Amino acid sequence: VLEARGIPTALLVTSPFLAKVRYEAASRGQPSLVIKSMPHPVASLPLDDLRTIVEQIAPQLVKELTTQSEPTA
Amino acid sequence: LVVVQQGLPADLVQVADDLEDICEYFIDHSWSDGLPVIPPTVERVERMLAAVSRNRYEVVAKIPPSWREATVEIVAINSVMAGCLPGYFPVVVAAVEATGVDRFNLTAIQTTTNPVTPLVIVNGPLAPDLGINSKGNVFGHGYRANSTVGRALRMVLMNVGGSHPRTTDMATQGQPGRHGFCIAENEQDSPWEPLHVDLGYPRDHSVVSVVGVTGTDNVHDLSVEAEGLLRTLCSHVATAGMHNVHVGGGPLLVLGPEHAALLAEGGMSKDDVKMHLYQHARVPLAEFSPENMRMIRQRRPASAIGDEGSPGVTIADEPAAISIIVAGGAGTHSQILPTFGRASCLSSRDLGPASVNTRLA
Repeated sequence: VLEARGIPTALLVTSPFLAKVRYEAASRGQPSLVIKSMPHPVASLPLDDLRTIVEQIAPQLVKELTTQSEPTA
Repeated sequence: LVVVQQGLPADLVQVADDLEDICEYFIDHSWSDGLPVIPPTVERVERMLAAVSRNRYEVVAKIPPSWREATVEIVAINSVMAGCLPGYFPVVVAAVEATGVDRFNLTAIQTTTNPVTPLVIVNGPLAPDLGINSKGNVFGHGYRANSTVGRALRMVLMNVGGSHPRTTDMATQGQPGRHGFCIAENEQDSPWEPLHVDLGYPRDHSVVSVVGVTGTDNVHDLSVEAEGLLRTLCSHVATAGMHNVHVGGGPLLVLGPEHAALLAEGGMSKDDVKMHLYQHARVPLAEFSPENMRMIRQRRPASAIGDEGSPGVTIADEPAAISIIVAGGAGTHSQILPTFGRASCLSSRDLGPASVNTRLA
């Protein structure tokens, strides 16, 4: 939804959900959406642990978002 | 033999004229729930379509996560495959349509780790006309209408919606109701007005409702006073892992006729029962781990939790979020069906006052 509104968007999901999220992105017309996976599970992780994991992955997400080719007019 | 494949419009595909080969063909294409299917020949699909007065290309619903369109024709194909009689077809179309409304949140239901599945509840004259079981073994086997209407909805959710186990349907364990979950309310043996009247429909109309439920949980109670049964119901439903306790909304209570009669003889209306469960069915705060308590505080309103000294977390966000129907036969059993929370509210479609016979005339 965000990507369709022109807001660059990246998805971070745990590994068991990667195929599902790729399928949903494609069916929503966003086959090239940036999607990265992280280790499962996270539902009960303390917030500080979660923050550490995300901080490790965030630079890679930013890099992929900013190096994607711009759509031609 | 010629079979119809799911496309838009549907394609005709020539397959070997052998039932086992045809079943293998459908299973190989992941167009089956794991059971053999009735081959959807042109003739069978046309007989199904003749049971409704709708254009075959009309879109009944867009089904996530593929967001493909379930047309009347595609629903007919899946209904044939599921083993439906043509008379059941209006119920299947209504059920698909009801699951497609935004507030039902089918996207989450189709892809969650939760075992949730839509339960189809049929009210009104169509239910006995079609032979939809509302009495003994209502959640069990043995009734073609129950088994195949529910299966047809599952086929549509899977084949059109692209919700396949372990790839897009991420249910951790699922539940047996996912093979097909359809019942009628036992209006004849209920002391109260039926569900569709609660929802505002005329009593003589046939109404198809869907609700996302996480399973069935049997409650046995031999009490001879309403108060005893209420105590058992409160104790049984208020548990620390029950989904509505975690996420809100409210459960569906399916009372056996004997239990419903006991409550009515005790002077209770359905609303009285809902209010009693809302007030008294509570899970003490001490029963929750810190992680679960954190989730509950994020997802439930403060009124559902209370302050220090609270009697516990409620099983519903408000009394009206609890639904009650009567179904089953003789015996002292009822069922609690937790729902998927606010996202799985009852969604209904009115099929009007006509019986199946006039509809097919």
